[in-house]
Amino acid sequence: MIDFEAEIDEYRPSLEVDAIEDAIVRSDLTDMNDLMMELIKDANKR
Amino acid sequence: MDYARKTRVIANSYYNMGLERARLRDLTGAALCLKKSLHFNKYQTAARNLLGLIYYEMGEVGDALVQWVISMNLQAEDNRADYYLGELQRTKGGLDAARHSVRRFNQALNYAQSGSEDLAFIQLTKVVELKPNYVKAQLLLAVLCIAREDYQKAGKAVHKVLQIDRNNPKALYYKTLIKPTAAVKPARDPERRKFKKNVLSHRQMEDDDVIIPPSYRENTRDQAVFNILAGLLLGAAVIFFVVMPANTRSIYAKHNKEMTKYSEDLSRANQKADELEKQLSDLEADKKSAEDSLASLTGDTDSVLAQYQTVIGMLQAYRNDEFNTVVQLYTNLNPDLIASSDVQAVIAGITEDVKKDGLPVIESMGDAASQAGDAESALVYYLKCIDLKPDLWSAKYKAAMIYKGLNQKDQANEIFTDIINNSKDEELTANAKNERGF
Repeated sequence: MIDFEAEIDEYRPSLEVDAIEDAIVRSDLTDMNDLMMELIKDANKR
Repeated sequence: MDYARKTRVIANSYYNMGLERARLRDLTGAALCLKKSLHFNKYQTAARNLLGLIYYEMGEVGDALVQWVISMNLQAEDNRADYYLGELQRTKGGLDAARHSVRRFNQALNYAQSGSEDLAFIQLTKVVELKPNYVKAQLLLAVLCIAREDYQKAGKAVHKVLQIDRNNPKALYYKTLIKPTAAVKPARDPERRKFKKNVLSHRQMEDDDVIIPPSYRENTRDQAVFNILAGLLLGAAVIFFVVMPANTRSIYAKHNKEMTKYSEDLSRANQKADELEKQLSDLEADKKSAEDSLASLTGDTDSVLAQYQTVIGMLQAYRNDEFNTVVQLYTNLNPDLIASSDVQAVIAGITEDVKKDGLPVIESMGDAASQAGDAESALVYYLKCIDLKPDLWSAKYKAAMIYKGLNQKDQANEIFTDIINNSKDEELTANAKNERGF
């Protein structure tokens, strides 16, 4: 049988429309290219 | 192949995979692929736009906007996200409705997590009614319905989620919980199927909704005619047995009230008529009294006015030195009707003159009347003489003779006796005795 309390706790609030600016600012846009560039830069420094 | 190109190829592969799953309406799986694509290449605009579109389709408008705005920041020109954002803004009230739905869902989630399941249920019902593709709201509603053992409603919510997102893991999990319960109830039972159908189509009632009971049947034409006739008969019966007696009572009461009023008016009118009749009789009595008074003053010779006229006539006769006229007028005088003391003094003087010199004149007037056959006038004159001079025996004898002639023997005998006893005149006494029968 379903564990109601646990099931409910899994849910997260939806992003409110008025809060999208903060969400955009906090977005982590780092992609694999950025990571590779970081790694290459670190290797070159060494 | 350099790293950059390899990452782009991987990103493109994940995007293609996500696109394929999105076309199959596996939105959750598509979203995962697209996120991976963006991890490899954040400039994969198509993947980001599609991810936003998937969020939008699942009711997560805020997340969709985030993706589309970032997409526009990363690629300002020739970007499909521009169209999506424009459509969202152009739709009248669309953004506001989305804002309210999200806010309401968050509130419902807060209620549910704080133990107020009923409030959460109410809020979620409103949310899914306004926004049926809000996957997270449908899933939360399904959880609440399962907790309340309302499996039909939970099944409906799960079904809706699976229509939007075919492989949604939570929806599939909830479906497994609902299925065994549904299997217990035979689906072939038409009544139960109908009930299930009604339950699944349940929604919040609007103000102008009409509840049609399951037993409702459309009437045939004959039934309609029969129903109309029955209604008419029932209406007539109600009018005859309920309305008419009430009306009749009302009319009787009104009639009795009017009759009472008329009786009171009639009684008052009769009283007034009696009063008027009494006033009329009083006035007539007053009138008669006034007429009598006037007659006594002006009418016959015995009236007051006539007495004064007689006095005036006597004074005029004195002035003309006509004593006989004075005596004649005196015989008609009744001094008792004259109230004035001055006139009474004048009358007293005239009376003395008449006593002194007028008695033969009066007696002669009586004689003349007697000879003329007017015995009553003669009697008046003789009695006037007796009144002025009680011992005028000749006048008394003549009066007694008239009484005897008038067959008034008592008066005649009384005077004869007086003459016999008191008169010194022997001839008169002898005649009186003779007349008296001695």
